[in-house]
Amino acid sequence: MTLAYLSRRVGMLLLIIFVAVTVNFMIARLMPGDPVENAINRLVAAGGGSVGNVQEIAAAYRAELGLDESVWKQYLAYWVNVFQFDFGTSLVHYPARVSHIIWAALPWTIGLLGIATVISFSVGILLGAALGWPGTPKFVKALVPVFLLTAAVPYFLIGMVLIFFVVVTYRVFPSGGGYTFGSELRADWPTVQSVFMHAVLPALSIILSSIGSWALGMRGMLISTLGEDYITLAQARGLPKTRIFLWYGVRNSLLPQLTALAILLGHAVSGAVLVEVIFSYPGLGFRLFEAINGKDFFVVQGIVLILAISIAVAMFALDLLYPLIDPRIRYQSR
Amino acid sequence: MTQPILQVSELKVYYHTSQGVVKAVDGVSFSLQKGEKFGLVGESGSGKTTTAMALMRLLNPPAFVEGGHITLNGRNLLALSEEETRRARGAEISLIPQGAMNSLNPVMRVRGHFHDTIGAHRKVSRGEDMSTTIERLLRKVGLPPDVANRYPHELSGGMKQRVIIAMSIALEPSVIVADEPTSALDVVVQMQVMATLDQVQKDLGAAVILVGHDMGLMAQFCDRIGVMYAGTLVEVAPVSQLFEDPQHPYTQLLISSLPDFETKGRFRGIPGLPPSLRALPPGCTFHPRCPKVLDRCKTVVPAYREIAPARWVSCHLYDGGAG
Amino acid sequence: MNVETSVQPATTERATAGAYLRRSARFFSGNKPLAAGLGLLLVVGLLALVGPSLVNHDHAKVGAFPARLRPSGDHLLGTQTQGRDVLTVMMLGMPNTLKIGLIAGGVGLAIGVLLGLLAGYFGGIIDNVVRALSDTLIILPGVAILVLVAVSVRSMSVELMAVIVASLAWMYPTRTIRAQVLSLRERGYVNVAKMNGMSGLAIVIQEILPNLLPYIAASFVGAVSGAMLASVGLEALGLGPQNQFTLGMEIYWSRFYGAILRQMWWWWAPPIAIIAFIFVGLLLTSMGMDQIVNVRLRKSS
Ligand SMILES: Nc1ncnc2c1ncn2[C@@H]1O[C@H](COP(=O)(O)OP(=O)(O)OP(=O)(O)O)[C@@H](O)[C@H]1O
Ligand SMILES: [Mg+2]
Repeated sequence: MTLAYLSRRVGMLLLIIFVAVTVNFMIARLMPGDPVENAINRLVAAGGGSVGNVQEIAAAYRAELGLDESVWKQYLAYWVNVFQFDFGTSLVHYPARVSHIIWAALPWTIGLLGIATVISFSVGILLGAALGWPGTPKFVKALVPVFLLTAAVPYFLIGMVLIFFVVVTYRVFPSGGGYTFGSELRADWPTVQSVFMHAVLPALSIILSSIGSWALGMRGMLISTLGEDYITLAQARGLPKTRIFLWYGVRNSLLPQLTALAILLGHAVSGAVLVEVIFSYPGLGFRLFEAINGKDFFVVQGIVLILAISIAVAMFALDLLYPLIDPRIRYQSR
Repeated sequence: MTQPILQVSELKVYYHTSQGVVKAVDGVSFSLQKGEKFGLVGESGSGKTTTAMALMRLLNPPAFVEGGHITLNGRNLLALSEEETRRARGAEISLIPQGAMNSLNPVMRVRGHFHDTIGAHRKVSRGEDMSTTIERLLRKVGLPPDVANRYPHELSGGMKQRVIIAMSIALEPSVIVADEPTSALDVVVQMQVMATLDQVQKDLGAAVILVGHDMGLMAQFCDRIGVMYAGTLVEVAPVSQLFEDPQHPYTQLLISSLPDFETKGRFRGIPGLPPSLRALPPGCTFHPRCPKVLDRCKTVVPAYREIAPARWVSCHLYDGGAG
Repeated sequence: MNVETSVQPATTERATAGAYLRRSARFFSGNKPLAAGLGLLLVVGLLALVGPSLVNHDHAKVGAFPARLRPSGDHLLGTQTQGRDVLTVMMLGMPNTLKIGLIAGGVGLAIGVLLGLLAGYFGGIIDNVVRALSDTLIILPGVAILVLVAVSVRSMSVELMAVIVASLAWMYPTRTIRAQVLSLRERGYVNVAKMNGMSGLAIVIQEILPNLLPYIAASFVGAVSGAMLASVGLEALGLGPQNQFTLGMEIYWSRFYGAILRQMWWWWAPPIAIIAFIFVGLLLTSMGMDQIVNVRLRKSS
């Protein structure tokens, strides 16, 4: 891995974080009026939160945000807070810290999205490879139009359809939540079971709707790879069919898919947010939704920032992985 | 004469397209002696690559072998099973393809390519043994041994083509098919690569089929040349005779259109257009462009016959009294 | 890879109506995804155009009918919890949903083409800034960023929604167009034009833009598709226009009133089906476009 490549990637990461933090800071301040008053007015208008301690909250916020200081000082202070993982205080659940809400929700999202993505990526790639293998039976190839449909439809719509068919009609899985309502999270078997059962449908809706696009993407890439000159020469060299297919075809098609994975990560997170909402799954997406409905501006802001930064970091990690897999990248910076 | 190492007789390869049947190779016959260098020339689209790919049994649909025989080392190549064909490829007959630039797997080191090629045909004992083999092969084509550790994108076009040549001789095949091995390279590199191929061929004693456009290059390299026109061989002759005394009117036009056969040069082309392979003219396929056309050329297909020792022509001019 | 000079020959052929039809028939039979995709979109487009004039707008008012009626001859898609006729709501929502997608896609495309041309043609600092910006924004979770903006807006309307979504719909077009301009710039005829003393702007407009048209068309489909996805997502979160009908808001309301658990499939299923229909149409169209664009790529490289 060359230094140029590495420094480029690090630069990119820092830039993304910088943009995310700055945009986040600006949106709150560019809104007409006093951000605290805005936030609290919206809160009161929405009828969430007790009017009694509005003054108290307002005072606390003013102090925290340093609204009497210059914008630059506020901006600097905001950075310091971000570094300390401090995103202020929730308006609805006053005085709960936003960071606390995020910490509680993060594992759910990472678990759900991580597992769903790994499954849909790997199964999708395998299916795509099978679709590209000349010997695959016809009925497997009939999957293509099905994939076209599922790939086109947003994640959460599939989730709604799943809820209807699986939950309402057959009552197999719970319709929402992360674990049995009212129970406590403990490290025992029933809890694990309940967490699993609650995760199946949300994960399934992510998997079902993204597996198709992975399979189709892989199939397309594989077909064009199998048309390359180096495949013909590999045949002429007398290599066995499976060796050519796996090591020259599939392996070479895999690399562009990994790049696509990185680019689509943001897309996947956006989709997962909505899936969590549909299933009331207690991850960041659902908390975001709650905060939106409750006009809990600082929670919204904190979650959005965390989502953006997590994606940037995941991208960065993937970027560091590529050169280990694709030698071409070691020598040219993309 | 000894038994030829490769014998092609009445080979027919058609492409079955939605717009009709393309008769890309339509009854081609020739044979190769051990260590012989045979050139195949002809206009673009005359069926040279199709012939070469048929020899490798690498034709994919819509191409199908419609008829004929290919005998390699006494075995009928077209009757081999899939696995037998695979074993023959690279080991008995190897290919140096037309597109050198993209013929190596971009994410595999040169070493890996050699491993794959050799490993596909015999058990490879681990370790040093293989490295020295690869080194020896690379040295043969004039490449330093450290090339083995490089990736294709770290090599120049000429180096890639040498690597491919080195691979093509790795298993000491008796026939090497080289389809325009230098067409993508610039002139200086072209000469170097051809010199390498020549040297390697001498060392190995393999027969070579060289497909090409460049008559000068062909004249320098080959022992015999076959001229293809619209899917058929119209004339086959030893190099010197072909240039000094071409028999078929097409060959005559071809030779006379060269600037000077001592210096190298490409065809300038001859008047008229090559026929559509979907609807070939009746009789001799060349008759619409032929300056010496006879009446029967328009209806009767000329026979491909040996008119003098080692001189094969397919033309009514040499029918003698037989017609 | 060396890019050869390839000047597209001007079509001199005069097309009669018959020849034109035959040619397009041949074109579409060679490109089935495009034909199917455009077909689906055409159906949706026509419905959205004539739909609102076929229905009685009062039927979509709160309490127009008894609530939660099952589908019947009077109400083909039944009524929802507030007593609105679902079919009427769909007919009124469809044009708005498409409008958001088209406006946002169009604005995103316009920004993208402009930035892509600037970056690709002039290079240097402009290129670096544009590229860093689009590469950065493209990986951020769009819905999350849009949420932030949408939350801050006092009252949402269809048009405002479109503008907000457009603010994140320009990155893909920018990338595509920039890459294309870069490759066009290397071709011979741009150099010839330069040597003939054409100004930068004239070259861009006369030489580069016409060659970009297929890519612009393909980017437009992509941008509309992305914008629709984002807007439907925002609406499903309840961030869409509260006082206007859109398919996404209808999904939000149906969820809000527990339509799924109450088994009111006639309420939540139609918007999902229409949205799925539109997205399949967009996906097929963009696949067909890719086919065309790739043929050009292959021919020109
Ligand atoms: N996949 C295909 N489908 C239909 N026709 C084909 C196909 N491949 C080749 N042909 C036709 O077969 C004929 C012979 O092609 P071939 O590639 O063998 O020519 P060639 O002599 O090698 O030409 P060149 O000198 O340009 O390499 C051509 O007329 C070509 O149009
Ligand atoms: Mg050829």
